[in-house]
Amino acid sequence: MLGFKDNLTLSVTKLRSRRIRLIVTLVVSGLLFTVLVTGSLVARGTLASLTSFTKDGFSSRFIVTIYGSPTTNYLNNPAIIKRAEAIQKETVAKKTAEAKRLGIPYDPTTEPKLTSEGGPDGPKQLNLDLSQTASRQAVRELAPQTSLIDTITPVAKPYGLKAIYSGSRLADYNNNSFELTPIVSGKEIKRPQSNSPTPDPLDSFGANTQTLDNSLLEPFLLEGSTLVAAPGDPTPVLAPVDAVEKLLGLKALSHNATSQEKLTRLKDLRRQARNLTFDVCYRNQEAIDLRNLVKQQADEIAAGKGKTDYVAPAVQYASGSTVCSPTTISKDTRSAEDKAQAAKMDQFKTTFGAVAPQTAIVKFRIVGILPQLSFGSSAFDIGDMISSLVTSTLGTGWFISNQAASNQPILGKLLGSQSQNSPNSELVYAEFNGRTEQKRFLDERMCQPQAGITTNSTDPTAGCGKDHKFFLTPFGNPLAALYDSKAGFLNFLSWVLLVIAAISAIIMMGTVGKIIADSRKETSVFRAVGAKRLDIAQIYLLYAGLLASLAFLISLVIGMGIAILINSKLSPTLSIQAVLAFNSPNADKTFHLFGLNLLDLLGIYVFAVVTGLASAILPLLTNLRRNPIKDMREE
Amino acid sequence: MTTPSSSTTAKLTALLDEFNGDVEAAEQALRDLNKFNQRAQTPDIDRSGAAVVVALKNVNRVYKLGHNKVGAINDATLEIRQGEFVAITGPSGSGKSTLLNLIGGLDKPDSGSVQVDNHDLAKLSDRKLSVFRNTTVGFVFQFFYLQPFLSVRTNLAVPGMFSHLPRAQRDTRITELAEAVGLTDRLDHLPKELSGGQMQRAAIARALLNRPKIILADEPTGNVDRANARAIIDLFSKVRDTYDTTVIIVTHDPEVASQADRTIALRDGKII
Repeated sequence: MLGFKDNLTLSVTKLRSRRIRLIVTLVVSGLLFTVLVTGSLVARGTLASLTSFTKDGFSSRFIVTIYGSPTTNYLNNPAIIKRAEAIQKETVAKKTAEAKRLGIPYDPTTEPKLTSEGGPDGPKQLNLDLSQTASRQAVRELAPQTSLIDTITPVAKPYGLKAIYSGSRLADYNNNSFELTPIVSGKEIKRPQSNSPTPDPLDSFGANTQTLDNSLLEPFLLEGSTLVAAPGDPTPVLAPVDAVEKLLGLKALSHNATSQEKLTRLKDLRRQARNLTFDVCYRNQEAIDLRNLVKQQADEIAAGKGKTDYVAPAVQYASGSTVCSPTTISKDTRSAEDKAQAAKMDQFKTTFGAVAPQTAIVKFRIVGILPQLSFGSSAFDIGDMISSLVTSTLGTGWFISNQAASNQPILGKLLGSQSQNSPNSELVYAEFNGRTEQKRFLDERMCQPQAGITTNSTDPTAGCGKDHKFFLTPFGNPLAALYDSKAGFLNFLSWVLLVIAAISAIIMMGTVGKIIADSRKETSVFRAVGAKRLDIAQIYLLYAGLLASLAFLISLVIGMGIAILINSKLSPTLSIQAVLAFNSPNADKTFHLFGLNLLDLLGIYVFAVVTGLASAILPLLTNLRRNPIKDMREE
Repeated sequence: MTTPSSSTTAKLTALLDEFNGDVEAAEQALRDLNKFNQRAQTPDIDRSGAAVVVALKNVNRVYKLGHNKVGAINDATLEIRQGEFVAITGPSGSGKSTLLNLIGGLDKPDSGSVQVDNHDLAKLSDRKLSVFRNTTVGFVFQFFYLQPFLSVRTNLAVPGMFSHLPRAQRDTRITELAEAVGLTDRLDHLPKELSGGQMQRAAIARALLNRPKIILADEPTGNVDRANARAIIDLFSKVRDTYDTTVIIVTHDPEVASQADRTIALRDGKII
């Protein structure tokens, strides 16, 4: 075998010959390998940045929300309806007896109807009104008492269940018997009409507020904020971004706002909103009724003014002197007898569950800002769509920790009444070990309506298919879709790079192979002066290896240059978009498009060298088999 | 201490050189150079008693040209002794080069035997044949066949690389040979920067690097002018005289042939 130094001398010296052809070969191969190098650097950078950003929020958590069987299960159940009616009948009997005992009038026909008519089963279908005490009691007695969390845990366990959390809605549509109205600038906000085109962002407070486990809220906490609140302290709350803007008196950004403007706004909000407190006025149903009565009486008195036959109410009510203070009696012209009769009436009501009106200010403290999804935005914006795809969010509305809510006397009572009165207000979140597990659980357990089977009154999951008896939805962000598209993109990228690699290999084989094939005379001269076949193979294989190494070096330099350029051009904008999209806690986080992966580069280098060697082998073997005299003479 | 006419001594010297390193190599070069100058003036020596280094017996070599077979060498039998300067002459196509290639192991006979330095070339493996071409013979071609991308120095070093001649020894020999062929100041040039005569002298120096027993030169003067041709033949004579190297030259130039000890004439592949 030829000594390595001598081999190197001959191979390196040969690299200096046929320079133009060599340069063309190097440039062509180098440029093709540049695509691979650039692809690797940019893809690795992007993936690393994505991984880094997806650690924020819920992006790397795999959670499914489980909704209980819809309340229609209870609403339409004939047995429950029958029982509710029986309870009401009993109550009416008791009320009649008590009214007789107290000597007050009682008309059983004023009792509200327990059911309404119409539904999926036809116009005759009966629907139970859960706002009625009798209905709720019937449900409690007859509906399965197993909580959703107990039902779902054994089902989800085999799918790699990591944790299970609970939460509940503050205001359920079946039990909307209180008000939580934010106070801004010393005034309660005006509740808009239901069809208002631009609802006040603060309007969602109360009606769209839920409690959640701390673990689900922590990723969204502002820096330095905590979910813990001592008794009497404002209750920590995570608010939607538009509500925070409103609380801070900032105008919402226009839809055309640039990413930079959005980032600046996000930073401003985060800075200003940290531990921002605000008050909310709580009223129970009785207080709401009184408040409404104030207005009603005022309208009535105004309408009756000047009319001789108009008799003003004996008891007149007025709003409290300060914001959110209880309604007071402004005028009472009742006789002592009437007053005694009214007292008896109150006693009667209290006996049958009525509570005193309650009005109170509840203090809240902003501890997190939730991103707003751009779905439903009127303008089509691909950036917004991508953001929506990756955005980590808890959902729309306001969020309070389970613990903080139960520590606050008023909120605690609301939660208690929820679980007591409305068995289906329970929300369950199941967290899985990975995306695959999450996806499998969704695929195998989510209700998938079967053709031809419609939901009926007794079993709303009848049409869901066997084993698919749960209403599930991915929580946090649509990760399954994101990961599928990411996997698809990576797959596509791999194929593109593979095709480029194949083209590079073919071109390199052509050019390097031609150089070797054209070295027949050199080979024959080496043979004539006593080189063994192995000696010559060594020289040309080292030559091809060096050539491939040079092509790789060129591709490395150019590829790095291009990747750095791409990074410097796109990184600033992408960083902002990523911070906004992933709701990154660090607003200054950078999205890099340049990532050095030595294994990738080594792989490309090995590929280049192997291609170089492979290109050399065939022509080399041909040359070595030829008759040296013939080759020398031919030239 | 050394007698270049004896192959055993030459081998011993080579071995000694390897062991003694640079100083010994330099001393050897000096001794060789002195001898070279002395022997240049030595009169012809009778070599009938010298060992036979090349022996061809009933050698035939047939080439296929399309469907026809052409006898390049027909039943050739000859002997050449150590230290002989032999010219192979004949018209074009008479088989001169084929005969030379057969002796040099670049070609193989279809029948008959070619014995060179006690090697039956037909029986040597490709690997051993390479070693034979590298160390026993040295080729000089009409078109020089220097590697164009290598400097003269590296071209000269190539046979030494393949024979694993220690670098120091190789360098000493290159210096010595370059001086002998008058190319000391051209060592770092590329072949294309040399004249025809210089290129041929470089090719001769390359052929001599491994101190072969036999120099095989195919029309070495065919591509140089008359003055250079004379210089080249003188060089061969000096080499033969200095190292007792057998020199076999293919030529159709009568003047060149007349310089040889003996002429082997070929016609239609037959020795006449």
